[in-house]
Amino acid sequence: MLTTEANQRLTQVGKGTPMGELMRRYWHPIAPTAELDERPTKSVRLLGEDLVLYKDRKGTFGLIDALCPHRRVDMSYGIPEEEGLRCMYHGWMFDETGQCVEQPFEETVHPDGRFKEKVKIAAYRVEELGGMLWTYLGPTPVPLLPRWDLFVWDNVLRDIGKTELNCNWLQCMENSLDPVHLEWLHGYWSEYMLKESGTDGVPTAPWRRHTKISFEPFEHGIIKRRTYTDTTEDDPEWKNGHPIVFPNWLRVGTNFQMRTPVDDTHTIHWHYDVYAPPAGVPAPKQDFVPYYEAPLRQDDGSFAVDYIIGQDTMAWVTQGPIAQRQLEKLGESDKGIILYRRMLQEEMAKVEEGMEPLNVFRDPGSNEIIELFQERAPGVIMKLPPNTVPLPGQWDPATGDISVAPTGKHAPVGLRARTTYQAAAAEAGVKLA
Amino acid sequence: MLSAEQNERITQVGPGTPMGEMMRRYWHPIAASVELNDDTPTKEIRLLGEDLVLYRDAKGTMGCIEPSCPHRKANMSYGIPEPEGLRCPYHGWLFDETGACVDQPSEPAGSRFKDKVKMKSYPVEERGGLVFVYMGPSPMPVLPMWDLFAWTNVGRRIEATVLPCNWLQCQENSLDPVHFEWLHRYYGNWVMARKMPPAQREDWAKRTQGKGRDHIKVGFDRFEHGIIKRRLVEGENEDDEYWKTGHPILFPNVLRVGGSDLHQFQFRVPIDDVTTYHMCYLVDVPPEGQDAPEQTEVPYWYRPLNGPDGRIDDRWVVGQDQLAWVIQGPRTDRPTEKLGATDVGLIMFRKMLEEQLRVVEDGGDPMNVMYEQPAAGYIPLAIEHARYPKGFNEGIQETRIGMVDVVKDLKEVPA
Repeated sequence: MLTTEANQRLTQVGKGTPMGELMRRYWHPIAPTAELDERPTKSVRLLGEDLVLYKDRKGTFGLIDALCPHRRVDMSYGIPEEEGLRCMYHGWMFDETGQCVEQPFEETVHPDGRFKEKVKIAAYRVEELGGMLWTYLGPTPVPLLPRWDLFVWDNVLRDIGKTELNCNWLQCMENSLDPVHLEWLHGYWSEYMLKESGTDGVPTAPWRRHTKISFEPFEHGIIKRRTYTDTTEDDPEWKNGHPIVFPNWLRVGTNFQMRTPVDDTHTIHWHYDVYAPPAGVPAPKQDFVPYYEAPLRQDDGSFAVDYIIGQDTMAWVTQGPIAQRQLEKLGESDKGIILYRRMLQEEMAKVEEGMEPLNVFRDPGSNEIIELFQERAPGVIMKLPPNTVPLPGQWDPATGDISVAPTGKHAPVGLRARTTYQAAAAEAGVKLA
Repeated sequence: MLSAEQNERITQVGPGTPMGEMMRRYWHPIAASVELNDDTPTKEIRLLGEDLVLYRDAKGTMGCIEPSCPHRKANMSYGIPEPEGLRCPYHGWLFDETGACVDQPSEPAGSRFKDKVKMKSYPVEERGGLVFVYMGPSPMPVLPMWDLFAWTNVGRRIEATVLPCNWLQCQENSLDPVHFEWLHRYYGNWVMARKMPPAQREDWAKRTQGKGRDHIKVGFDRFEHGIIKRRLVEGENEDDEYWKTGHPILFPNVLRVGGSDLHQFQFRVPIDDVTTYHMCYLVDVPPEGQDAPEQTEVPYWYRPLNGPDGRIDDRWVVGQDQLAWVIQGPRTDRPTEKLGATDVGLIMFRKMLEEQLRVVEDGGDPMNVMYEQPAAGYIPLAIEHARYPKGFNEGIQETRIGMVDVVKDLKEVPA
């Protein structure tokens, strides 16, 4: 339980709020690079700020105020030029530093005027890594864009999913510090709900209960461990565990779930998946990293809950725009959440005192690749492990393929990763185990 | 740039606000006559921040009354049109166009309860296929007979779109000629290059090039009904008709534009502080020596703001304008704008608004409030024709899609 004030302190992300300032110490993903090749401008709302992302004709990316300072129109309808973005209303042009570099009619009427030099709008740096575009909204000096392993590995396939959630980011993160929900939300309820709705092929795997959970801080966040009724402390779920990357990501398998705060009551949930090939198999080259929209809801308006993350997003969104933590009752299942909230408080305090919080990188040498660990070896599982049955949304009835991505119905690579690697193995003459 | 208070003063239109009181001195079109018929005898409307029900009774008389029956507050848009007025569906109370309750069938015979029940109501007048409402004080002014309502041997049609933005954004755009070369020519060409087959792109480019060459001068003059806007683009001089005649903005919220064989009014009717009913009133003039087809009614088309891709439909001139207005947000943040040489017209217009607000606050009549029609029977408005040569609008009559440039293109666009 938190007081209303403590809840606000953890959830508000606007400029000048404690959490907003902590979040402004990190690079955040804003779009798949491929999206800007299809349409050169994109509205971006991040940490409560309305911005427009664009790619000019030279290929430079800019992220500037959404509204033209002249007559306040939305420049996501602007025109990318050789160097900069031109407002479509009266042709004012801005470069990626936010500087106004052209004011055509002003220049016709006042050839010696210097009006444009006085016009500058907010602009943030954009960098590209792993098929995504990233930005940093905080103070200078700008830290390095962290090169986490999944963005850097070569010889893999990737795709990027996106779901827009009408809830605060912290609800998503707290869920990652709460292993016990797995047996209920993804086990008991999932089976009940699928059977009730008459779905064919409902998983009938044995229902595993948690027997023990544990959380430890480590240099990049928190390690989460658990044992089930059918596992011990020698199994990877306890021995290795898997990491929460501070402040707002989960790493599970070869997947990052990045919960990017749009504003206090909206979050973009990015599913960044890497599909590593089985040993000895070359991954086919990707010209670009494809992206997809993983739907929060189905056509009839109900939540899409036939895949794991769909069940998670349902749980987060139904907690309301901002979970009312002053009314909650926490117990043993929630000790990871309590640890994580304390860590957030500590890191916010550091920022308030002018210190650098966790996971801000400035040394290029240690940023070549930042390795995280996972419970199991990274290769795509080519056969279903015994006693596992996929949810309907993660299974392709036509090929029998299983997606490790949020939903096989949408993920462009996920569902086909196994068949792709089978073909690649055949071509390379590699015999799969 | 305006202060936040000044911005509110010229954009708020509710009862009791300065601009709301000034707007209440004018007749406003809020529906098309054809919308109110036997099948749909009522229409829920919202005008100047007030929710109302417009109806046509069984005798054809139109009324505009408050939306809730004073009895048990049921919505009168479900009412039944009768010869004497509109009857509430719930218990049968009947109201006439003055808002008087004229029948209370469920009250005891001889009861005089109904004499004490009166609803808010506003006068309604139909003109040229439009339905106008007057919400201001008496004496009530006349609904001015602007030229396009008086002309004979023409074809008329109405296109309307509800816009999620304040009315002033639309009107300021009309005081800003320079946007043409950017929004319609440059951006328009960029849009068409992506959305149109090559032949149609060229056609669009030709059409916008003529009107959209770079501006070298803009000018604005006050006249008795508003402001005359003038512009010169490259290759023109002040002896040209474009400059000499210009075209008029009618105070406070109407643009008159077009020429030769297609003329139009654009009414920017404030629904509330952040919503505008945009009505294009289009008048087609037949070729010389020909008769316009007889019209028994003026057709009406509701044109959605968004195109097939779910974004604002920017494949036509007025759609591009609407885009520019709507994406300034519900109400333009004028305290942070930066005005320059392109904006002298809208600065003049804002001054005129302030001056007329004061006239109203001092108890006077603002510009274009008239108590009788002119002796000539209508009010002629001078307008440049040369930029809209005959034939420019060819094909528009049959398509009824509205403003000009992309009529042919639009028909080819795959959904």
